Amino acid sequence: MKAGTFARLLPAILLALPLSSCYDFFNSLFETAAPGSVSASDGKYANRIEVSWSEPDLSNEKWEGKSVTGYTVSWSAPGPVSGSDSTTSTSYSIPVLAADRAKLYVVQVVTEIDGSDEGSSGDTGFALETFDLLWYDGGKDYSFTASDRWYVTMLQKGFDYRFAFADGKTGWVEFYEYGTLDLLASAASEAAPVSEPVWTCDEDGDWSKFYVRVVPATAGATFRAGYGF
Amino acid sequence: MKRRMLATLLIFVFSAAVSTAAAFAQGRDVRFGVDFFVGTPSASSDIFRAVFPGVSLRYRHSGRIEFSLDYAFMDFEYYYPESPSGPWMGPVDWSSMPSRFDKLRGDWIFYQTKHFIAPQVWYIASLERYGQPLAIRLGAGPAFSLVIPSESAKFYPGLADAYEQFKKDFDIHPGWSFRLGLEYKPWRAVRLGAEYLFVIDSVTSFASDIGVWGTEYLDRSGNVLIFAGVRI
Repeated sequence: MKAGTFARLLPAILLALPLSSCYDFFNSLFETAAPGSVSASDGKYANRIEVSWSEPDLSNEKWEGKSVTGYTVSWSAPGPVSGSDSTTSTSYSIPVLAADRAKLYVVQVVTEIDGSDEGSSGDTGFALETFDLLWYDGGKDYSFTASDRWYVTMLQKGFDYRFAFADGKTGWVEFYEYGTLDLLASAASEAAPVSEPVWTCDEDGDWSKFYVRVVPATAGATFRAGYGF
Repeated sequence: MKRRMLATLLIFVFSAAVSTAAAFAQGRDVRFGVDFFVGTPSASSDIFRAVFPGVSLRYRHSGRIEFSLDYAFMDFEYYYPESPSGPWMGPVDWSSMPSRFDKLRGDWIFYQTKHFIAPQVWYIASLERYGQPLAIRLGAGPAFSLVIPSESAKFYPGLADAYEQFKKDFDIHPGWSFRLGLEYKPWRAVRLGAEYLFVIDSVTSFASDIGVWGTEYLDRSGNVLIFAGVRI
C-alpha cells in the first residue's frame, strides 16, 4: 500500500475503532509493554466500575529478561472526579459514589516494568443503578423519591410509550442506547417539562433494549407507564 | 439485506470447509463430517418459498454405521397485543398478524423461536459396487422440538402470560425422527444429497393420526431436506 493511501485511510480506521481498540492498535504498532484489551464495565454495577485487562506481550527482544512489576490504574470523570491506585493484579474495581453514577469515566492502565512506566491502554466506563421498567397491559404506576431514576427496558419500534406524572407534576424522559450514555431521544425536556411525556419509538437501541431516565421537574414522583400503537 | 449477507457467509463458510476437508482427507480414512442443510416445512412445500436451515455433526463409526447430532432453526412465531389493554394473541405466523403491524416485521420484538435437535444413528448403504458414487442413508433417533421466547417477555407481562399459556402445552416436545436419503459423493471429502425427514410424537399418536389423515399424513408431518457436507 502506498504511504499516501495509508495516510488517508488511517484516520478512517481510527475513527471506526473504540477507544480500547485504538490503544491496542498503537501499542501493537510501537511494541510498547502496554496492557492489552483494557475493558471498563458499562453500567453493570451501581457502585463501581470493574476494569480488567490482559498482561502485556513481552515477547519482543526489547523486553528480554524483563517482567511486569505492577500496574497503575487512573480514572477521571466530569465533576471533577479523579483517582489512581496500584495493583499487581489484572483487574481493579473503581468505587463510584451515588452522585457520580451515569458519568463517563475515562480509565487508563499503565504497565510498570522495573519501576518505570512502559506503556498504557484505556477504556471508558460508567456505573449506573437501574430498575426494570415493565409494560403492563393498561399501564402500571411506578414511584420513586429521588431526583431521577434510570430504568432498563425493551421498546417496540412504532409503539407509543407514555409516562403520565400523577399529582399535577411535570417532567421529562430521556432514552439512551442500552450499555451506553448516548442520548437517543427525549420526550419533553428540562426547559419544557410536561405532565405526560410520550415517545413514539423510532430507534433501534441495543437490539431494542434501552436505558430510560425518568426525570420529574421536582424530586420524587409517581408516574403511570403505558404503551400504545 | 441481512439474508443476502447470511447466504454469502454460508457459501463462504461451506467453500472454506470443502477446501479444508479436501486437503485433510487426502489419502486418509474419513471419519468426521459436517452437513449443512435446508428443509421444507412439509414434504410438498415449495422449497424456494419457505425453508429452515440446519447443521449436522457426523461421526462414522464403521463402514456402514454413522452417528450424528442435528440442529435446525425451525421458525419464528409471533405474538401481538390486540389493544394497549391486551390481551396478547399468538403464537402466529407473520402472515396472520394484523395489517397495522405490516411494516414492523424486521423490528418486531414479540416472538418466539422454534428449534429442532436430533441425535441420530445412521445406516449407510454404499452403491459404489454398482459403479455409482452414491449411498442410501437410513437414520433414526429421538427428536426434540423446543421453543425459546424473545427477551421482550421479561418486560411485557401480558406477553409473558401468553407465552406461559402456550408453553403449558408445548415445553420441550419429544418425538422420534426417521430419515431416508440419497447421498452423492462427487469427491472423497464432499457429500451432496436429499433426505426425507419424518417426525412422530409417539407410536400411539402416529397410529391415530394415520387413521385420520391417511397417506396425506406423510406429507403433513414430513420434510424434504437438501444437504451439502464435508468429511475429514
